[in-house]
Parts: sequence; structure tokens; C-alpha cells
Amino acid sequence: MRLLKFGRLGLILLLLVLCLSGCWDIVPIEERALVIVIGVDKVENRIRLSAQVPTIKNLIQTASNFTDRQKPMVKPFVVESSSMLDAIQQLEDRIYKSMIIGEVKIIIVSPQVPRKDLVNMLTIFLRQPMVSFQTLVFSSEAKPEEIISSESPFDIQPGLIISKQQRSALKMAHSFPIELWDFIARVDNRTLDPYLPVIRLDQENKSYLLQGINVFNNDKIVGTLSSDESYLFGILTDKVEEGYKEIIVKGQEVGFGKVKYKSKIRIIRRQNQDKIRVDVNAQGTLLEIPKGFPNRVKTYQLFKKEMEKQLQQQVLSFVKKLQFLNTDPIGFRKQMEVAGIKNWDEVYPGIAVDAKVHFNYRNFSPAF
Amino acid sequence: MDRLTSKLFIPILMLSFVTFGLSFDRFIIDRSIGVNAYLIIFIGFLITITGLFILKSLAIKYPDRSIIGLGDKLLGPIGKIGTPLWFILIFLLTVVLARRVTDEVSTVILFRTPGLVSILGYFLIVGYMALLGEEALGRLSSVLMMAIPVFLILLVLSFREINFLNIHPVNIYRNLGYLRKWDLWLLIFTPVWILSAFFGTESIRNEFKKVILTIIIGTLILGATFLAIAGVFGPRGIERYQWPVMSLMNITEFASSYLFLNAITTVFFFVFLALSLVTTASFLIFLAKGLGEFLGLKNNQSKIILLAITAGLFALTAIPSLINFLETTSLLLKVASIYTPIYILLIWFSSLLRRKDH
Repeated sequence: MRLLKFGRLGLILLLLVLCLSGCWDIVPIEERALVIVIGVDKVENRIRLSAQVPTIKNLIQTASNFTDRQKPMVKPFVVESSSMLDAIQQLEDRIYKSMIIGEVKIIIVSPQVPRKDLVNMLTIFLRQPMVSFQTLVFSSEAKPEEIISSESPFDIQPGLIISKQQRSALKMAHSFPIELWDFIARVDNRTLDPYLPVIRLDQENKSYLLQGINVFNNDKIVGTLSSDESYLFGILTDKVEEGYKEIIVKGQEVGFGKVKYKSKIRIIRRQNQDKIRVDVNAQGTLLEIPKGFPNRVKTYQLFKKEMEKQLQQQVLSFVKKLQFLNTDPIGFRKQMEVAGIKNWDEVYPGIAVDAKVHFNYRNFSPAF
Repeated sequence: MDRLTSKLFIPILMLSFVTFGLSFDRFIIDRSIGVNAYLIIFIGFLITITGLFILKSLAIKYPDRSIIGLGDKLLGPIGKIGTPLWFILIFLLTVVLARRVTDEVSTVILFRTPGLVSILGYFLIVGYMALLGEEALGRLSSVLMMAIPVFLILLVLSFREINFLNIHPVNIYRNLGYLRKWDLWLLIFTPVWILSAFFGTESIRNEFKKVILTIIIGTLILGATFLAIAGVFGPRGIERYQWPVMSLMNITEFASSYLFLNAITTVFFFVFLALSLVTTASFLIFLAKGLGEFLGLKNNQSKIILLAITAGLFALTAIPSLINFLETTSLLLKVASIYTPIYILLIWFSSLLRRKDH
């Protein structure tokens, strides 16, 4: 028993000593360069890496004598190299602080990054043990370093603003987030194509514009969806949570709010022809009623019918655009594979599409 | 020979079973299996249930003898070779388990802590737990059983990320590769065989239904875990990850705010570590007590053997390189998972040829 008591005491002491090893090489937060946004570009066959490093002292949210709101909250760094790892090392060589690349929350990829490099570059981040698999990936319209170098008007670190803005469920209408692991899994599985939301600088308002989506065929960018098309993408993937929707009736705009969608995709197999069938169920509240339309049941019926008709046409033309671009970020090909269409990859661009939309009023507007 | 009552044995059994599924996830998710990994668990379950009936018949026929004593009595010279070989395999299996866990800890959480320190810390705790004996371990396991509902909550949260088309029923007959993977059927059930044969004879004899229910619950938990992994990462995506369950937890969101990004991973880490410590300690007790019984040693001498085995486990976990582990782990897991059922079956066959021991 005495041996056990000594053993117990010794074990506790030894574990405490082991814990102390963590204090040995501790790096205080002021000494860390926590890269939160990173940009990846390729210029003349060289990788151009940009990083946004917060100046911790000016980032502290609470009022403090040490906080100077006038000073910039971030310091951008841009380096060029022939390889990704060397570019990361180049960044390390330029920052006196200990660089913590594992804190990256946003990766912005330039459309200039060639197909063969894109997945390799992104998987380097996925392989970093500290980088969260939930890191958001964006596509920039111009150079990512322009976004990285911009100052935000808000008192929050810009990278965190982008993350908050993109993840906010109520804003999901024209842009939808994709996480690092999801992008890579889509490329790995080769049925559901990845996509990247587009980020732009809003110079006028000194903010970020998250609108539109770049679509891929496996790992190759094949086109861009406008903000309206992105909305349709959101409808078919059930990502639009509380959206607005406008239609034109007799040359005038009719608007709905709090529109929710539930979509169902099916593959109908017939002897002579296979077909994709898209069923969309929508619910919303009437918000915008043009002059001249009386407050009658018939008006409501007319708007409902027009909403169904116009949305159906939009869905059909949207799916046809995806087929034309030979991209499928929705999951039609996966449905075709499950339905037993063997050469789904070849069949997809030419398969017939049918859409049906059913709209219902969610509730009354408080005023007419 | 100390035996555990069902109240103490069942928590150890449950935690060890779940730990094996969570630790050797990479080996269960085999390239040829695709998204059907969860199905092999159910095949293994059916085989293991049959094995438990065999162990029950042995426990009824020889109520005062452990599996080690039975090996010696019924197999004669074969038992003299078979039992030490079994110990060696379980020793190596414990090394692989400890290395899987400590590698995961070093890679995902304590990446600045030297691997040697993580392994030392791990075995100090495991050694101490084992030194207190199986009864103390049983009591600790009863407390740590609350980790199972916590893990279930994390698992249910991860279901939100599943693409159900990846686990559509058509995949079951489309990829029948899992039917050839006999070694995988048994791998995660190895602790069930070992612990039931050594610690659980009393529970199997008196509380057989509870033991079966524990295995059913464990099988469902692990089946659901592998279903979630396949559904999230897809047939080709699952091959990418070194620790698929940890990766599943990594992508699971508690809330969309960045403050909670790694909350699930952190909770899972503590759950997984607690389960792993119990499992390794239970194997260590099996090795020390089993070897003590085989060599006919006294209880005090068994404790010295336990310390020696702990030191041996530490050395063998810490010294080999990553390449050494990559080269040997797969083969070792196959051999260890098939040897245990075969050895127990051999003892059972021999018992059929003998009259009841009075």
C-alpha cells in the first residue's frame, strides 16, 4: 500500500511536470501573427500568397488605454514563390512574430489559379493540423491581395466580418458558403461539383460584396452564376432560408418576403427517355403590391399563378445553363447514378429536364 | 482469479468496444468497401454473438476456471504455446492502439508536445489505472459511461452534414467488396472476445442478456458512426482522412459562429481519450493477470509484471518509427483479430471432447 501511495504521489508530480512543458515555449498572443485571411493567386507561373495579419493591440474590443482605434487593425503581407510551401515560409521570414497559419478562417482563391494547382493548394491547408476543416473558401473576381489589403470600417477584424457575413443564415440568398472539407470532398467524389462564392470589394461603402458563385466541373472553373442565378442555386439546394422574391405581373413588380423553398429532385426513367424532374415547394408573404391591383382573392390567385409560372421558367433555364456549362453543384448526377444511369457523366448535359413549382402564401401581410 | 460482476464488467466492455471502433476507424474504412463500412460491423456482430454463446457454454461447464486456465487444461502442449502467443498478440495490439491514440493526440491537439512525452503521460495514467485493479477500473468505467451519451449527441449533430445519396441503399449491392474483408468483420469486436473470455465469465453466465444488449448498443453506435462518415465524406472522400471519426467531429458545427468552430472536436477529444485510457488499462490488466496466472505467480508478483509490461508497452510504442507502424499495423490487426476467436473456438472444441470438470 505504501508503494501505491508513493506511486500515486509520484505520478501526480510527474504529470504536473509534463504539463509545465507547455509553459516552456509559450508564445503570448501579442507575439503571434494569427493569419485569419489568406489569399492564393498565380501570376506568371509563380504563386502569390497574401496574408492578413491582425495587429493584436489594436484589435482588442474592450475600451482600453492601450487601444488606438485610429491605427490599422490589420497588416497585409504579400509574397511570391514557385511553390506553396516556400510561399508560406517566405511569409514566416517576413513577420517577426510567430506566424500561426492554423488560425486561417477565410481562404480567397483567385480564378487565375490553374486547375491542376487548385486542389493541391487547398489540401495543403487541410493537412495543416491546426487549420479548421470548416474554413470558408471564396473565389475573388480580381486579385485576392486587394481584398486582403483593404481596411474595414467596422471595429472588427475584416476576416471575421467576412466569416460572420457569409455564415449568417438570414443573408443566404445571393451567396452561399462552402467549407474547405466540402470543396475537397466534392472534388474527391466526382459526382457533385464544387462551387465557390465570389467575394468583391465594395469600394463605395468600404465593405465586402458577397454575390454570385463560380461553378466548377470537378476542379475546373467553368462559369459564374449571377446573383439571380445564385438565388436559384439556393432554391434547388434548400439553402435560401428567408429570401425575397420579385416577379413581374402586367409590367409591374410584385414582391414577396420570407420566402422559403423546399426542393425535390427525381430521375424519371422511361424506356425511350430519362428525365430530371425538379419539384419546388415555396412559401412566402406578399410584400409589394403594385397600384391598380384590388384587394381581392383573384389578385392573390393571379400572383400565386404568376409566381409559379415565372419561377418554373427560371428554374428550367437555370438547370439548362448548368447542363450547358457541364457543371452540377446541385446533385443531379448523383441522383442519376443512384437511379442506375451508368454513363451519367456523359448523359447529364443532354438529359431532359422538367420543373414544377408550387407556391403557397405563408401568412397575411400586416397591411395591404 | 478475480472476476467482475456485471455492474462493473459491462461498462468496461462497452467503453472498450466503442474505443476500438473509434481508434481503428481508418482500417475499417477500406478502399474496397466504399460507403458500406457500416455493414461489416453487423456481420462482425453476428459472428461475435455466436462466440459469446460459446463462451457462455464454457463458463457454465467450467465455472471456476478462467480462459487462461482452460487453455492450459484443455489444450495441453498447444495451450503452452497458444496462450503466450495470444499474450504477445494482445501486447502488440495494445501497442498499436496506444500509438493510434497518442498519434492522434500529437497531431490534432498537442502538436507542440513531443510524441515521447504524450506517450509517457499516456502510459503513466494507464499504468496507474491498471495498478488499482479491475474493480477500480470497473467503477471508473461506470462513471465514464456518461461519455457515451455525450458522444451520441456529437454524432447526432454530425448527421446534419450527411448527403443521404452517398449512403443510398443501392450502394449495398453495388459494392460487395466488404463481403471479402473477413479480417475487418472481427477487428473492432476483439475487445469483446478478450474481455468477455477473461473478465466476463460471471456476467456471461448470469447476465447474458445484459451482455448481449451492451454489444447490440455498441454495434448500433459504431454502425451509425460509420454511416455518418460515409454519408458526409462520400465513397472516395473517406479515403483521405487518417482519423475519420475525428475528421467527422472536425466538420461538425455546434453553431455557425466562428467561436464554436472547434467546440465539437474538443469535446470529442476528451471523450475519446477517456475511453482509450480505460481500454488500454483493461488490456494491461488482462496481460498482467493473465500472464501471472499462466506462470502461477502470486498477486504481488503480478504487480511487478504489470509494471514491466507497462514499461515494455511504452518502449515499443515510443521507439518504432511511423514507417515501422505503417508496415506492420495492418498485418498485426488481421492476425490479432482472427487469432482470438480461433483460440477460443479451439478451447471450446477441446471442451466438447472432455467430460464435465467436477
